Amino acid sequence: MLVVPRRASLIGWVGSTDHKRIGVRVATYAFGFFLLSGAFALVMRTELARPGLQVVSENTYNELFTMHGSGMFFLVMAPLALALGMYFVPLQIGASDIAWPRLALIGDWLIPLGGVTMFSGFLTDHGAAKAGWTAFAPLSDIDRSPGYGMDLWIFGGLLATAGVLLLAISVLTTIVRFRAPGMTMLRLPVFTWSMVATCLLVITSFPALIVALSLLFVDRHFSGVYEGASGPVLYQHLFWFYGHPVVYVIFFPFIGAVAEVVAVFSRRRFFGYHALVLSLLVFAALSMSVWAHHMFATGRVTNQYFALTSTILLVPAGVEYFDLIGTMIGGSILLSSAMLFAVGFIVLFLIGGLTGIIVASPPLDYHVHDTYFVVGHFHYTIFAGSLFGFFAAVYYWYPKVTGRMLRERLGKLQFVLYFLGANLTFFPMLVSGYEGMPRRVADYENIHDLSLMNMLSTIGAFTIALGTLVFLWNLRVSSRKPVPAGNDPWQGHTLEWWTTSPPPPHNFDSLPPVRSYSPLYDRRLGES
Amino acid sequence: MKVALPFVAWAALLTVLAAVLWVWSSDHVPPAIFTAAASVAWCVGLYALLRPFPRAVRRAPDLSLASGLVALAIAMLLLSALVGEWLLLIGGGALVAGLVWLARELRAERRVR
Amino acid sequence: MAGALAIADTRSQFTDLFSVYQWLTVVVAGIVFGLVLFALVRYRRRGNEYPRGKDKHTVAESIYALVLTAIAITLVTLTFRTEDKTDAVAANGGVRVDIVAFQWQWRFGYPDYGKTVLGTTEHVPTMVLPVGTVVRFDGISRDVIHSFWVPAARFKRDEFPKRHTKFDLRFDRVGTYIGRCAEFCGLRHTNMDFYVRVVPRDAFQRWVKS
Repeated sequence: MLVVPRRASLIGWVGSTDHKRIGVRVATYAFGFFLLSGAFALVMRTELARPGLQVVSENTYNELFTMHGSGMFFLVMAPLALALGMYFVPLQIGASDIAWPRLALIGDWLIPLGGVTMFSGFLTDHGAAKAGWTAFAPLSDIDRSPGYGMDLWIFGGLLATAGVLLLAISVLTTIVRFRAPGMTMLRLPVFTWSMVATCLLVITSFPALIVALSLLFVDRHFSGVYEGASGPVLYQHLFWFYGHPVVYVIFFPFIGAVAEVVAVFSRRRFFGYHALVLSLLVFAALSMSVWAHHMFATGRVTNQYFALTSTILLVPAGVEYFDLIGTMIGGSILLSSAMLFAVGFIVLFLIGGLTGIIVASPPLDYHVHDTYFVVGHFHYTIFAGSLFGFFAAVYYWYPKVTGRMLRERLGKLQFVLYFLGANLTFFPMLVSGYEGMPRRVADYENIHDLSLMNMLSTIGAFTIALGTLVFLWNLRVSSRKPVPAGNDPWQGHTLEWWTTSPPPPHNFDSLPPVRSYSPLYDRRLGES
Repeated sequence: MKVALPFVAWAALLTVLAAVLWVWSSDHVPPAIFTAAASVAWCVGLYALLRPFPRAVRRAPDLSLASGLVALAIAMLLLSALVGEWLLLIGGGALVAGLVWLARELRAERRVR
Repeated sequence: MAGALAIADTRSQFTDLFSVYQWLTVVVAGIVFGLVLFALVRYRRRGNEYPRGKDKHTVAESIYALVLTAIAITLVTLTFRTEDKTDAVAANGGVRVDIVAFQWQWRFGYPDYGKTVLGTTEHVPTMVLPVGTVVRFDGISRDVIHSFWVPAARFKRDEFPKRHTKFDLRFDRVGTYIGRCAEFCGLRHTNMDFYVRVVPRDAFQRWVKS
């Protein structure tokens, strides 16, 4: 990531259909959007450090949280999820190539085009979109959200979503058709299985957002699609039909990567493989059926059905935890940076998951919905969960991608800053939301310790920012004074560690026999 | 068949969940959306069922600038709705050029094989 | 569920259910954190050996999944029971209050008494309610979606344009509570507050006649 291979011409860099180039490219600009959207969060946290309006106007604040959320979902987390799959799925299944490389390349370029489109709203007369990343009708209609900013947001969302959809189609088809000899479905590595679940979700749920946003554009400029009495609820159904599965799209690949990391650094085959595969598929199917738990407080959905499906999710999630911890217990654990981030994922995502069970209950959700409790909950899942999983993946796979090691000590420093920062930022949000602080407000009154809680969150946010700087410094140091990685620095289990680092364009010169989901581990046991 | 099994099972699971929602929900919109998604899942299952085997060894294209042009054209076409007709014409032209270029790339690739 | 008496104080309903979830959360978090810590300490890499152990334990995992399912069903059952009470709408009786939400204020109407309270930028509107009495709310929005939230009552409900939202609440304690718009509704969403002042019944009667 962030490293342009030497000798690569610009044209080669822009137009290459090599899945590894596509993966690195998507990850690189997604990380750029991460820095931008993260900077927005820092401005917001600065504003909220004390009661009153000090730094930005309400109008600007509304733009900031809208673009922070939209950027993180459309341009950062979903693209990062698919970038990992794009790079590592073909390597893990022993393929030389991806299916439909041109389609993937089109998707690859649609995402940054969408990002530029979305953020260019800041240059227009009325400013960027400011209706929240959810852009509920009728707040997002032409009267309440005049100006091009909202339209650019719609087009940006459409382009980025279509781009991710094309990447997912390519990755899933690769898994179905391009597996190496011997690589049966039940020998797919855990990460690849997590990408199966991810791609299924993308393919079945992302079209709903494309419909929702296209209709929103029609609503704004031609006829009021969402104008009637049931219009606003129709929009919410279409939006959340995408909007809930997408949080699993940005969860599965990272738990898959964490599972690989935990197995390799515990020196064990992943524990309970079949249970995990089954739980991923059940998890993915159930997660398609829970979207309206975002709408409990509307009083206009079948609360009981969605409460049931949302709560029952704890079963597959619990099975995954059983397998992760089961791998660690009885293992031989090396606490590298990658493993630290993986353990951080396991511990912190749990807080997100447990608070998720709370918001799955309508009578409890009636209180905490649309408050900082929910903000804290989903940042525990997406930041403290998925992004920690992403950094576990980065520290684990960076040597494979670049042929160089990242610095372990800087990695551990980043982990400490991230771990402290995440808890300091997001735990007080659970409290402030419970005590009555609604989300999406630029100002608040100092009752129930809200002032203290917000100050803690702000300090935490800057701690995270510091951790991010440490990571960037790590990238710089590692490319200035490269430490060669070799083919297999971690004694990995899966096929990507068989080939050179970085892999050649055709990925493999030879392949070992594949008799399980951890072929290199089999060989190592045979040797020892 | 073995390849398609998880995909077919997944589509069946979605169908069951959607069916339960049809019974439970008095509003038809949510189960209708869900059913549409389930039918997309069936298409995936069908694809896995019909094309289970890897294609013969194929030569991947190293470079496809045409794909980038198509992506750019799609973005221009969308934005033309805001910017005006001139971008519609440029975007349309770029799309046609990109598709022709793509077709030539594919033909050249086939000739090499 | 119908009779007026069945309408529960939403706050105590919430507290009872929340304490179950909270207790469960703390216990589960404690177990998982403990296990992770145990694994990290006990199974830290010491030699260069490859540990030999089972790759799966299907029986234990199946039993565990069944236990999880039982927990989920218990939680859902408790939730449904509580929701029956919080969502219950009385057949008759009580005080009627009409809510009109608009960017960025509230208007509260008392159709039985011909009284209206309107918020302005200088004046936060106060809804006065009798204690221990079922209040039948009928809410609507004049523009975008708003949400009527009284944190002290642990309850909120969205207000939609062109469609009435009806719900019942009961406040069992005298006092003044802050209320807020919880659904983001545009520029001045931050300032869309109101008060709920719960007073004894005779004081309420005096107030509506004043």
